[in-house]
Amino acid sequence: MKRAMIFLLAWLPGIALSAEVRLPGGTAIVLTTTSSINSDTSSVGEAVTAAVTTPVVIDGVTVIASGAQATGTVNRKEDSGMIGQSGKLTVEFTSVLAVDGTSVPIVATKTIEAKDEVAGTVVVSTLLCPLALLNEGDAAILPAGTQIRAISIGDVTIDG
Amino acid sequence: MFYKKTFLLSPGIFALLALIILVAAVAAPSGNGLLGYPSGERFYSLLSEICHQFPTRSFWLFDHPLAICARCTGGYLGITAGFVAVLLSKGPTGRNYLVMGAALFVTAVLEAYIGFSDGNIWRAISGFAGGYGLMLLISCACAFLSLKLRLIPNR
Repeated sequence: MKRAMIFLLAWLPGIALSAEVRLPGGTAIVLTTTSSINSDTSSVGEAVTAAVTTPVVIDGVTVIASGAQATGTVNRKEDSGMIGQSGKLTVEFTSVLAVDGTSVPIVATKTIEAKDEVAGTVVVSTLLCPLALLNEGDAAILPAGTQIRAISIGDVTIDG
Repeated sequence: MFYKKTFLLSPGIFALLALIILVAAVAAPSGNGLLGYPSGERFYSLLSEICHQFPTRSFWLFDHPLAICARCTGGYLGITAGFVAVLLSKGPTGRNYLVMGAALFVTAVLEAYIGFSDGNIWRAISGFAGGYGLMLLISCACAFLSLKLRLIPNR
């Protein structure tokens, strides 16, 4: 009886610590970019990272901790150019790390477009000076600290 | 009756737009939360043009953030509520409306830029004041223009 009690006491915390939790698909996860991304200096396919802003808690168990890393890539980009052409940038995050190290597939896309100056440049160059056509538009910049809403894809079982 | 109909047209269009935006903002998390992803994504995408949609600065519904932030939610609610107030009143031609609208709007704009309040509830209250004030100002402007353009008989 005594041995059985000792075994039970040793076994119970193990259950509590390694509870399996199902993270349902469609769960909203808040990400924050950790570094600035510039359309003129980045390239398509370049890896980008973000951190989880608020922890994801399922049935009282934290499955994705605050600060967990999300990874993604620069999906599409257009450089800024002459005649006031603005830069464009799309980043896509595809996975985030759960507390047990599981890679949780997510979908999160953010598109940034700098203010377009084409119309203004054409008007100024026509009315005042043709040299205005040399005006280069602004690059699209996704600043650090930008929040992005991500959605988990498919059910994932995590050791909470 | 003619007087009311004339000056309420433009504010009414604003209020209707605000109401449509509010419905879309609520439809986004409702779609994703109740019907599943990506049912609400179209609304998120549509409203991303007018709001930063930071999830921590938004109210949440069905475990998903609204498609507009707390300040915008308050603002559009304020515009709608302001229109109802104008509708129920005799007409926003008095100076009281103008002063009240300007005070509310300026306070809300100052709060947004200086940020002397924190938390989503306060942001929503500030937005509500701004929206309500803006609606009073729009109504006053419309009434004034209607009088000047002789669209309505002078009382």
